Amino acid sequence: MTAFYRQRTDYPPTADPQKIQTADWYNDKIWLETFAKVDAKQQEIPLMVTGMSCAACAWVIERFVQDRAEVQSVHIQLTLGKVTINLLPDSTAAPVIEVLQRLGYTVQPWRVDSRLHQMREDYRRDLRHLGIAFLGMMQVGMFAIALHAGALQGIDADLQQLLRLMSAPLTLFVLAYSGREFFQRAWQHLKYRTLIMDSSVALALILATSASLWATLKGGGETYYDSVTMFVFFLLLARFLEKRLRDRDLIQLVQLADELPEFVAVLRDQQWQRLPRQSVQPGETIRVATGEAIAFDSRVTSGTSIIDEAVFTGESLPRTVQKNDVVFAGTVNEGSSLELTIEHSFSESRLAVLAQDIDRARAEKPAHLQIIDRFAARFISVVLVAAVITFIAWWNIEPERALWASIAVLVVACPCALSLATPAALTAGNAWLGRRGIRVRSETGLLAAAAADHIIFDKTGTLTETQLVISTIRTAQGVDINTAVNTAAALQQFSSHPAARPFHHREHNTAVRNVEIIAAQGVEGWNSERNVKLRLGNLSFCRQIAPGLPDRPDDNHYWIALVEDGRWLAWISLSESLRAGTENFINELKREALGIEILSGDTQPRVENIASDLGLAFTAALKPEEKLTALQDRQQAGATVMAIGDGLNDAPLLRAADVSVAVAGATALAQAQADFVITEENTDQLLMIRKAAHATRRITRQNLLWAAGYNLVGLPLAALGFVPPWAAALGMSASSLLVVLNALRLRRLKD
Amino acid sequence: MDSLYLLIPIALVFVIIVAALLIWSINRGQYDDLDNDAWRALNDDLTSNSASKADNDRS
Repeated sequence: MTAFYRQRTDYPPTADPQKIQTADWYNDKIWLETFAKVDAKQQEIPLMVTGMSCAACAWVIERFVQDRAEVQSVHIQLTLGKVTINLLPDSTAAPVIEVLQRLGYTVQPWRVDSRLHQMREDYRRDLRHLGIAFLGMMQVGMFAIALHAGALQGIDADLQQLLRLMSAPLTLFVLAYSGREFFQRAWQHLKYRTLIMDSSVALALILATSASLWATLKGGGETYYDSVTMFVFFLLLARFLEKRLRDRDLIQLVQLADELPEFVAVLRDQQWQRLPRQSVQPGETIRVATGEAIAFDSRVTSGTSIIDEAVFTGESLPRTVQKNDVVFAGTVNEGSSLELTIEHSFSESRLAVLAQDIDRARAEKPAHLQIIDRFAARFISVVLVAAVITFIAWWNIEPERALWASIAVLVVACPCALSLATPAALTAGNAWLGRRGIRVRSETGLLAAAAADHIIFDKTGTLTETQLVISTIRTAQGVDINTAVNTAAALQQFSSHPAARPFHHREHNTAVRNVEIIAAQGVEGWNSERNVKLRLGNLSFCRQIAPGLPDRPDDNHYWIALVEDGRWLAWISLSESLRAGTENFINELKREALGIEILSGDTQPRVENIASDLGLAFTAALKPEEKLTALQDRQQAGATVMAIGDGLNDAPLLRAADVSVAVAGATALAQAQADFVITEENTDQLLMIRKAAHATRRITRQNLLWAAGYNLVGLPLAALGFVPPWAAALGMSASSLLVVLNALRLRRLKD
Repeated sequence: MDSLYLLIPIALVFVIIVAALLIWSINRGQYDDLDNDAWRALNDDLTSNSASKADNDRS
């Protein structure tokens, strides 16, 4: 977010033409095709819909749009504010757009730039609303203190009236300016006979304000101006913070596509030309230089090289490719330059498909909040009935008290505390994690994390360092270990191959000259002291000059051979090391009596090494699909699963898990999929997540319990007329305030 | 006590002024970057960056 605003301070000052389109525009096929995908079978129209604030909105949109005959499917991404509708060919989108507009949402074509622009506008608008609500709350609150004190100690009737007359316009302004969105959304949903959280909020606000205005006009009774402004402010604050979390997510996804090269070298008319990525078609030949990312899924036509596929697999070792091998978009060419034939357009590449999958999965998650929203809708109908009954009952007993008693019922039973209970605790918990370097990517992740009782690790990268280390060295008779390592280090100094990195900080044998990297095989050099050729690399490459080289000592490690002409010198093994602190935190987790296991795609012996060190159950050599099945088995057995992974092949696993954590240095796609991202290379942070989750759950429960208890006690008392309106107002404000303050206790949670 | 009849409306005037200033500064983009400005004072490298930003704003 911050980087984005720094880079994008300037926008063209011209009015945004996209603001002024009506539904009719969508009849224009030519314009439509500038952003939609139209073919013989379907029209896929991506739309940017502003104003979707909650899961309930997504549900409402889905219901109303899906019912239309021309709509094949609707797909909503709440996080991105994106709605993709899929229409039958030869139908027009205009009626669907009209439905959305009538529901009160602003609809624009989805374009990345316009989304980012809209994000900044939204942010400023929210900030304005929040700021005005805050000022109003403080000022009205100040007047209210004088009024409450006056009620106890005595106050001139004139002065009391003046304070009320001052509070009234301030409150009305706050409602009209900051609270507008509640009323708009409530009204639009009401037209379609649906109740959302905003319906109850709007109703409570209207009733409390009308009663206050009535009292001010008559010069008697109670006013609730302070409660009204305070409620508006706290609700806006909770939504503002929640939205900021979501926006951060969006930027990440947008940036992901940016990591691919904008220009690629293409062979056209017998010449290499640098052309924009978008203009290149499947079937064309492209060249990818050393160190460049590959932009398309393609097949190698000439050259051999090594490809870093960490983005997909999280594997530290690159894959060797040669003619006719397939390479994927988003992977990096680490060896020599390659010529490739493009097989698919970018939108069909493995990278794009995975990114889409992830988008889709993210939109489906926030089920927790949906339940709360539905509950609030039911709650408000109960309260309404209670208020009406109170009114009728009092009308028959003591007509002059009927109005005030029923208003007291409504005000006391305001759903404020209930609607703030969970978001306030989650926001505080997420902020606590944020200050400790953990990125939180889903608002509700903490609730699921608290319930997790089974933990699945993906071994590669999650428990181990991404860097390999030199573990054992077998030297030939009479060869000094240090000399062997120094010679190897001198040969490896110019290579960026991951297998070369462990050598980079070792001392070099200065006698080594003429180092040459031979792609996919190894390194060759010359020892100027002994006047002999040196080779470092795989078995067959080294045997060419040293036939006496024995076989690899074992298959559990990654071995490289070092030989000189006619004589073998050493076998050096590289292995993965445990991340710092891994043992500690595994023991800690075991103490919490959680089921912990490792599911890995690595070979049996390599996984076994790590698992036995930590004393964990493990399954090795699993394909991504098999990992997923294993996870679903655990879920079916009743476990709430937390998955920790880093590679793109973990993305399905992370998605299906109840709660997911990606580790620092994880691929962007895995991160986009996770609920939490641990940003430091310190897995201790997992414990912090557990801790924050438990604390948040505790606070949420306290809040809900308090809100429910307060309503259960307050409602009957108010209905019986025992609660004077000023006490009802105080109760309403105090119950919301207490919920927020209780959530703030999370700030002081110890590490 | 009579002064209160003047002071209370004056408080209202102040709120209006502050609200107007707040909206003005938000629209000018002063709150666009809440996380970074606190650090910028400590970061020498960014001085040139913020200068060019100021240029942009003027243009």
